[in-house]
Amino acid sequence: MSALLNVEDLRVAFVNEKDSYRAVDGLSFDVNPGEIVAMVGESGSGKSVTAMTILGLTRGPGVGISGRILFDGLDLVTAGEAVLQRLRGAEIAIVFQDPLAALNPVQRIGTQIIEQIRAHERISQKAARARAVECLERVGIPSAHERLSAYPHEFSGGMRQRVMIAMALSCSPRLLIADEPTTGLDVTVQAQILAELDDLRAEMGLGVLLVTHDLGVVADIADRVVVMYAGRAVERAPLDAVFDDPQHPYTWGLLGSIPRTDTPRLERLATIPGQPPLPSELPKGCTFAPRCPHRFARCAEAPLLESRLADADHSDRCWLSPEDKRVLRNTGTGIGLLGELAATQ
Amino acid sequence: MIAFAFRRMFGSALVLAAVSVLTFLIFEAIPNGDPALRMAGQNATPDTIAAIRRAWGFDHPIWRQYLTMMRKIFDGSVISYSDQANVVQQIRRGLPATISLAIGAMVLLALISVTVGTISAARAGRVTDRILTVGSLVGFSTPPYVVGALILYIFGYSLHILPTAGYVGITAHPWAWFTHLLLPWIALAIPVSGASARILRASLLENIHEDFVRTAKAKGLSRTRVMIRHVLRTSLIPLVSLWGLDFAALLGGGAILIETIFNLHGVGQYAAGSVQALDVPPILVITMYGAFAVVVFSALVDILYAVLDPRIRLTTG
Repeated sequence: MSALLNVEDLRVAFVNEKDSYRAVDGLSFDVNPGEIVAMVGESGSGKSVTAMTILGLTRGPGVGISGRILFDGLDLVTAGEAVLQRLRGAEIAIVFQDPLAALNPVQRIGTQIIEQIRAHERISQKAARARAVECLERVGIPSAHERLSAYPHEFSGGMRQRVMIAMALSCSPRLLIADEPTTGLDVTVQAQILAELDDLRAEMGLGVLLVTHDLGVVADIADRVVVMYAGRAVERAPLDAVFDDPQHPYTWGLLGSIPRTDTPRLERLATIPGQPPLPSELPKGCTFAPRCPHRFARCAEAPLLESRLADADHSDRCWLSPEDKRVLRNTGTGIGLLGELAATQ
Repeated sequence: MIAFAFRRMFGSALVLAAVSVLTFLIFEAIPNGDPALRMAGQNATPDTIAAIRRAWGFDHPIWRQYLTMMRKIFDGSVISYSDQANVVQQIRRGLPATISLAIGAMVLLALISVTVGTISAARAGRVTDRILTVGSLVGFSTPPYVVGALILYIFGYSLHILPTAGYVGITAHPWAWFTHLLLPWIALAIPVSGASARILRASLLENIHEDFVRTAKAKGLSRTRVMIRHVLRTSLIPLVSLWGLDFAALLGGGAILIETIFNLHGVGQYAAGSVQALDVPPILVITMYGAFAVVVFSALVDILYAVLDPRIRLTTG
C-alpha cells in the first residue's frame, strides 16, 4: 500500500544573523490512510515544526527546508504556494493545541468554519452553513445550529477543541495533523476527544498524524509511534512494540514518566534527568547520550535509525544490542559497565 | 444593554451640567468679563450701563443668571451679546461646514493611517518602514494649523490649483464643495494619521503572530484574505476609540484653527469669533454642544467596541 504521507529525510533549519540550528534533522516516517501515527517527544524535539512544515507554514526567510514530504505522490517541500494553499484545509487539515488562541476571538465560529469551506468549494453560503452544522454535530456538539453564531470564548475548552476538529474536517481532508490536541484539557474530556478522533479516522478513512508529548495519549489510539528527540526520530515502531519492547533509552524514560495502575506504585515517578539539548548546541554523536544513564564509549559516534531486531518495522538509534537492552530494562543496574563490556567484546 | 444606556445617559447629563456651570463661571471670573461694559460701548455713561444691566438681567444673582441662561438655551431663544443674533440658529448655519469637514477628515485619516500602517508593518524594519516611521512622527508632531498654513500657501497661493478659503454647500456645487474642503481635510488628517498609523503598525505586528492567524493560513485562505479578514480587522479595533473621539471633537467644533484659517464659517470658527468677543452665550452653547458630541460618541465607541470584540461586555458605565 502506498503511503498517504511519506516524509523522507526531512530537514528544517532556522538561520539568523548569529547562528543556525536544525529543528528537524533527517526525519523519515509514513502515514497510511486510516492510520494514526503518533509523534512523541518533549517540547523542542521538532514535532510541531514537522507538523507545520508539512503544511508549508514554516516557510519564510531564514528557514531552510530539504528532503521530501510526499503527499499522495506530490512533494510538498517543492510545491508552490498556490498548490499548498489548495491543499491546506481541503486535503490536509490541522488541529492546534490551545483552541482558544487558535480560533479567531472576534468571529463567530460559524463564520470561521464557513470561510474554510467556501475557500475550497464553490457552494452557496446556505449550503456551507448546512455543512458546518453537520460537522459540528459529527463531533458531538449539541444544538449545533444555534452554536454556529457563538464566539469561541462562549465554549468550554473541550467543546472548543471539538469546534477546531469540526472545522478541520469540514472539507473532508485525507490527512489530519493533530498538534497536541488534548493538552490542557481535563482527562475525561481528553479521552472523549481521542475517542472522537479514533471514530472519525475509522469513519472517514482519515490518516492522522498525532503530535503529542504524552505517551499515555498514544497508548489509547495510535497504530504506530515515532519517538522524537532533538529533531530526530530515535525510535520508530508499531504501538505494541513500543510498549512491549522499547529499544531506545529515551523511550524508556518517556514510558517511565507515565503513571501506571497495573504495577506496584514506585516511591516516585521516574523522570528523565536533565534537559533536551538546545538545537544550537547539539552534542556530537548520539544526541541523547548526555542524559542517558546507559551511555558508553561508542555513543560518541552517531547511531543511525535502523532496525536492530527481527521486526523490520521497529527501528531505533541506539548502539546497545537488543539483548543488553532487555537485561537493562529488567534489572536496571550495572548499566554503564555493561555498556562498556558490550563495546569491548 | 438597557442598563448601560441608562447609566450612560445619566452620566452624560452630569457631565453636561458640570461643563455648563464651569464655563459660565469662568466668564464670571475673568477680568474684563462684564458683558454690560462691552455692550455699552467705549463712552457709555454709568446710567446706560446700569440700564443694560437691568435689561439683560446682569444685576440678578449669579445662580439666577445661570438658570435663565439654561432655560434660554434649551428653548432655543438664547441670543448673542455682541450682535444679538440667535445662537442656536448660528450654530445650525455652521453645522454643514463642520460636519463636512469632520467626515472628510476622518475618511482621509482612515485611508492614510491604514495605508501607511499596513505598509509599515508589512515592511517592518526595512527602509520603507523607517521612512514611513519618520514621516509619521513628523506628521504627528506638526500641529494642524502649521500643516494648514503650509499647504494653503503651496496649493492655494503658489500653484493656484485649489481655492484658498470659503465653504460651498454640497448640494449647491458638489465639486466646489470638494475642492474647498480638500486642504482643510488634509491639514486635519495628517497629524492624527501619524499617530494612528503607528498604533496600527504595532497592532498589526502583534496580531500577525497570533495563533488564529496561523489557523487562518492552515485553513487554506489566500494571503490577502488572511491579512484583511483576520489580521487587519482585529488590529483596527484599538483605533475605534481613538477615531471615535477625534470625530466627536471635530464635529463639536474642535477644528477652531483650521476652520478659521480656511474661513469655513463652521461651528469652530463661530467659537473662535465668540471667544475673541468674550461673548458668553455662544461660547457656552458651543462648549455644551461639543461636550455633548464627545459624550455621545464615547458611548457609541463603547457600544461599537463590544460589537467588534464580543469578549467585551457593556457592564461598566
